[in-house]
Amino acid sequence: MIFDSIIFIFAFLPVVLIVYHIAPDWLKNGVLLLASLIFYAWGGLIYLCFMLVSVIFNYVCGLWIAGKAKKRRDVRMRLAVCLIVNMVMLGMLKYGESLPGSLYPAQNAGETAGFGIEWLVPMGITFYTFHSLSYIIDVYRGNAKVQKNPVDFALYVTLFVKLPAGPVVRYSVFERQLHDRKGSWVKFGEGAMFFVRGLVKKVILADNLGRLFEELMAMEEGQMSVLGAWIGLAAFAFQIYFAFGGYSDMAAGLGWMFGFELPKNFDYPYAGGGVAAFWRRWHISLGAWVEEYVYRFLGRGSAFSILFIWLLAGLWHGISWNFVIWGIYFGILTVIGMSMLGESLRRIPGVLRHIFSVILIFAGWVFFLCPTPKEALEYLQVMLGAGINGLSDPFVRYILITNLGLLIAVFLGLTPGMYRGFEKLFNRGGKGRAVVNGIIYGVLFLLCTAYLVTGVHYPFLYLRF
Amino acid sequence: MGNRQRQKSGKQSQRRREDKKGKIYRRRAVAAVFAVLLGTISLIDLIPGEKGFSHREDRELTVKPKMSLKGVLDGGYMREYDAYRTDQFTGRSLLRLMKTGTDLLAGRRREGGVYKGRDDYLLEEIAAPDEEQIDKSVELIGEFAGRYEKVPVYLMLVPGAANVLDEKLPDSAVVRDERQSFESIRQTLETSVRWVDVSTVLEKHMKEEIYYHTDRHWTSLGAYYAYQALAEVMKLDMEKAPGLEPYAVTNSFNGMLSSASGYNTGYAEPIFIYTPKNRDEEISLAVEYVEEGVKTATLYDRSKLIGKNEYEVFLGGSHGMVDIRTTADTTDRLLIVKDSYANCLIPFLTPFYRELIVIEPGLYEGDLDTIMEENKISSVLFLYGGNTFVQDSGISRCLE
Repeated sequence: MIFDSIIFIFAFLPVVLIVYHIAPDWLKNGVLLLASLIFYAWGGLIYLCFMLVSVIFNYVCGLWIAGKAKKRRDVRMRLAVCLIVNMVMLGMLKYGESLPGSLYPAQNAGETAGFGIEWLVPMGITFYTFHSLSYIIDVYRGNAKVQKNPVDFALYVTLFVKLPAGPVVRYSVFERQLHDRKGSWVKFGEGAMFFVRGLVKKVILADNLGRLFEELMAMEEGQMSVLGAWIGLAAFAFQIYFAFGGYSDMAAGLGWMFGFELPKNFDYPYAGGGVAAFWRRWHISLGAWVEEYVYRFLGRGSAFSILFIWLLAGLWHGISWNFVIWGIYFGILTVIGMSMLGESLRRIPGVLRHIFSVILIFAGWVFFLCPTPKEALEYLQVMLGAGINGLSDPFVRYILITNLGLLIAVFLGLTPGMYRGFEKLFNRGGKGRAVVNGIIYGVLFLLCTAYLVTGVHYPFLYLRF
Repeated sequence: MGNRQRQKSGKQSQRRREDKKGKIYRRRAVAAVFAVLLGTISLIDLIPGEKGFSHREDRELTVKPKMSLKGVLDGGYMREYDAYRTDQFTGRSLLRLMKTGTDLLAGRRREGGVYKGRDDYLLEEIAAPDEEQIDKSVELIGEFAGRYEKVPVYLMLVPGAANVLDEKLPDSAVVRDERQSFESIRQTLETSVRWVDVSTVLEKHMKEEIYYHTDRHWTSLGAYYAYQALAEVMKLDMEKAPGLEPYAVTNSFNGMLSSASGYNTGYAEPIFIYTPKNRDEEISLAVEYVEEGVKTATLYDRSKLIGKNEYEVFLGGSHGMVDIRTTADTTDRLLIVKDSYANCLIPFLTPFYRELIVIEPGLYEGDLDTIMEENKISSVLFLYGGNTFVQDSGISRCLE
């Protein structure tokens, strides 16, 4: 199931909310677990089976690692086994389809085995695997107490709130909230605001940017102008931005509705600070996870480990040269940023530096936009003016004029200042302004519903990761 | 602490307390609004009642999918169920209005391939020409004309409203000019086929109501002007034509472009038919819808005026083959190969022919040579709207 769908918002969510709040305290986690399993099974029963296998396996791992052992070395071996099995499962399910001689029904269309089912990468497989990995490593290190209650453990891994797009929460942080959370109308309201904001970002901003992008590409038909290439890339980049930002907000909001205070996962990445800061703010929990469990292990500070991690990040998106180039590109930029050259670059005045960073990041997105390195280079060439079609063309002008409202909204949504100003204005008010605020959110919610029911829908890019 | 400092920090903590209260009020208000909206809409959506066909949107709505083991395992069933619930959502029409309204406010002027233009005009996007298909159709028409040297073959392609009424397009909209393709087709067929130019005459009358506001077709008035141009090229004996006057068969026509885009859904326009001023001059007809085996005495199907697609009052919409016999004083027989554009022009041609055989290639199962051999056809007319012609494969099928 996905957050931005009629089924989730108007069938699943109300039922879960009501049942959860009626249920006695000791049953609440069970309710959430059942709801999460249904949520996940909605994507396909077979994927639920794989996830349950992973959950059960890691639950046992936790017990095994924390259990009695003669030597520390034995425990280390147990950890290694658990890690390897997890990685193999992740690798097989994520990449199995694209490997030669694959077992998967999709590959051997029409042949034996599978009932001819359509195979997709299970949703959120990386996220739930990472949750489990963080748990067993923390148990090994002694940073977390082993969880003997299977319901609680399963809930930690599978909670539907954070499954599609994170955040990836460390077990020790989450454990406190497993038993120590209280709901309230205020928290529910906070959650509703986050959720509606997230919905607006995804359904009204991101999806319409997607439509803009498609229309622009269709009109240009291979004769792109410089402005067309830039606008196209910007639409693409901001579509991903608002889709992911929106999903993060929705996740946070849903968490609040059930009394969870999940860590912030997306913090105005384009608001400044350079390339490294961008990625730190983009998927905060994932970055922290990688830093805690991979970076530390490989050796902090070395250029090699940075490049290696970025290469993995690229491959995580898919096995293709484009993603490899993307990864290494940002790896190199990060290494430069940490070096003497980076120091001197930081002396460039703020605005210029900001623009420069945004251009560098955009250039990276070209490798997402185009499916092959050759096309990516061609696209970059057009952006720099080496194309056939000149500076601008009438199609781009049409797209810009007829999407003016959208572009203004996008621009406003990019700066933290706008929202903070809004907050300040409405926090100061008292009951009057609170009511106006409520009406605004209500109208936005209805508008999102309108777009969900009748608009074009773009599936969220990161769901299949 | 000095007095002033005490005042300042006093104000600050008061402000912080206000902020805290303000925050709480805000969140409670949103919680209430959200809970109410969520609850109400979810309950309303539970009301059963499956709609099959949507008149507003002119399409079949998704129905409840069938469950299957495979579907549940790989999520296919759930995906279909999602689509089903979304399509059948209660209040869909109202929500569609909200969305279209917001889009318009934000500057959008195009939806579903339809431009929202000035003066309440909806203009269909000019389709990208399928060059291969055009070349094929043109070649076959040329060969066909060559096979029947004694029979004149005419070709009329009608430009879309977006080209003729280009001043009604929204600012900065860029549409293809199909008149260039027309010109190249004309040149290719110059020796074998007689081209009928209607672009010029339509442009001359562009300030009149020659296209429908909410439909892609021309109005009967537009067809009338085209008929006059056609009569000149075909050298029809205008003595045979009775004096005509327009008569509105409906005043509440809202066409396909409106359903496809969601724009101007409240716009109502008339459909006119032209009848002889003098009743005595009216020609009797025997109309046979050959493939359905239905016979009537009129070109107009009044039953179509009840539904959404009232343009189908002309010849009852699309049929593979319609055979029209008249009491006209002549032995001329006309074969018309057409799309829906011709439907409102055909009534003007009935006084000039003993028999009109009307073929719509997309639906006709046979081939044109058979018709030519079995009937004494004296003229052939190919009449198409530009958008259909540049993508149509039916012609090639009929002519091969």
